[in-house]
Amino acid sequence: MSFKRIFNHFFILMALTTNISFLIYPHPIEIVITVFANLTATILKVGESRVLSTELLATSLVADLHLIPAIFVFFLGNVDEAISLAYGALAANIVSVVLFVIETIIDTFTEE
Amino acid sequence: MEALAELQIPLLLLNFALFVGTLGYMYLSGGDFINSLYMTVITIGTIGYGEVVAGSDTPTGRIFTTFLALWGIGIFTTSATVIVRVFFKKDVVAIYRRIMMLNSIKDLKDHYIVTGYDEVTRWLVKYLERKDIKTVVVLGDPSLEEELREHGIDYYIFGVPYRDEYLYAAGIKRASGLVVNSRDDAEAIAIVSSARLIRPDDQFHIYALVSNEELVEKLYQMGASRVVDREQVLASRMVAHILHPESSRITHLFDKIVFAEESDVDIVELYVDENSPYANRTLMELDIGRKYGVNIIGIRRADGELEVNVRGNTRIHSGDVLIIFGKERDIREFREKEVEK
Repeated sequence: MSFKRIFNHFFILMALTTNISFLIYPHPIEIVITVFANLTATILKVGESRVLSTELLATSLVADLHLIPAIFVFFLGNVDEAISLAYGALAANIVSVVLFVIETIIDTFTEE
Repeated sequence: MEALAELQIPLLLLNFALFVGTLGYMYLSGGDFINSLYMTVITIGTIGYGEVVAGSDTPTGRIFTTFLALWGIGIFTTSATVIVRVFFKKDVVAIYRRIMMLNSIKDLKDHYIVTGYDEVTRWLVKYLERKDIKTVVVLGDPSLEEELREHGIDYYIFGVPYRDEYLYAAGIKRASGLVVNSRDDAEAIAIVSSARLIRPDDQFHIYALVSNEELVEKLYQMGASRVVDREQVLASRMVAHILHPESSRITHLFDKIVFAEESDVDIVELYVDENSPYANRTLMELDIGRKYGVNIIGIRRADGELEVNVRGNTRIHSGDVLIIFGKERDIREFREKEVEK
């Protein structure tokens, strides 16, 4: 069991789940946690040399580039715009999780 | 991309410090995100314009700022140092060069991969280059980069040659062959078996250069197309010079042709199978000498006998191997029109 993998997988899922929770209940603390989880997931993908690393990093960057404007827009008072940006990030996060599942399957078969 | 892995921990810590600071000031100020983020940045960035967010000038706020500054400043300065080091150290040029080289390797086709680096590798690359065959050298020691460049080796990858990812990076899927030049027996076995697993087809040739006679048979079993014992080859070539001192010019000419030192002429073998149009015909009937300007100088018969006295009425049978000599250009034309048609 690799703690690094647990840490990586935790934040990839956390990026998606916090994104969903913000969309269901757009609370200020929720969006801060969402941005933190997404940035952490992105940083954890930097410098990785796995099968789908570049694709995973690209999807994470897309999510970040939606959520960072969303947090400023949200606190400047335009909640609707923030939510629509967060939906964009949600799409990227779903793709990210799908890629991560594919990579895990590839890894499992490669190890076998 | 692996070079950026060094940034992970500082960036994670910086992200965490910003998160904790912002969330803390948001709690103190009742949810003022923009000022909380600003206050965190000026605190951990040692700018310290003042207590710009509501609640930070209270005793609780000051205790929070004290602890945030104590570890936040350390994280910020450490992160800044690491980021500067990664992006501005002299390796950045080397990293850029390697990325560009890896992209060029992706465009290579029908090239040869050479694992291991020594004098033999250098000669190998040089001779293949004369025949316009590109080579990618896979070696383990990055400190040899300057030397590789000095010797005009354009494509190289630093890594463990028997690991699949480095063989893939060297373009094994598109390559014509692999030359294993390793002094380590276990490594040679691992490289040959890894490469053969990736490319089991006959179109991919694996040549191994070894110093251990016992290894020869093992490597053939692993899938090597040709295994050469370097000491034995050197000795046999030297014996050829010793035994033919009076024909040194001819020996020298054949050396040049066979070892590709002479770029203008070439010698090739052509196997005649039962469906070949050459089977059961005489050399006069084929008349390839007049048509293409190449000469059949010998025929190795199916039973292993070498026939060197070839004439117009010499008949070719299926299973024979024709030894053809001529100008490289003429041989190429002959192959294109007669063999690959």
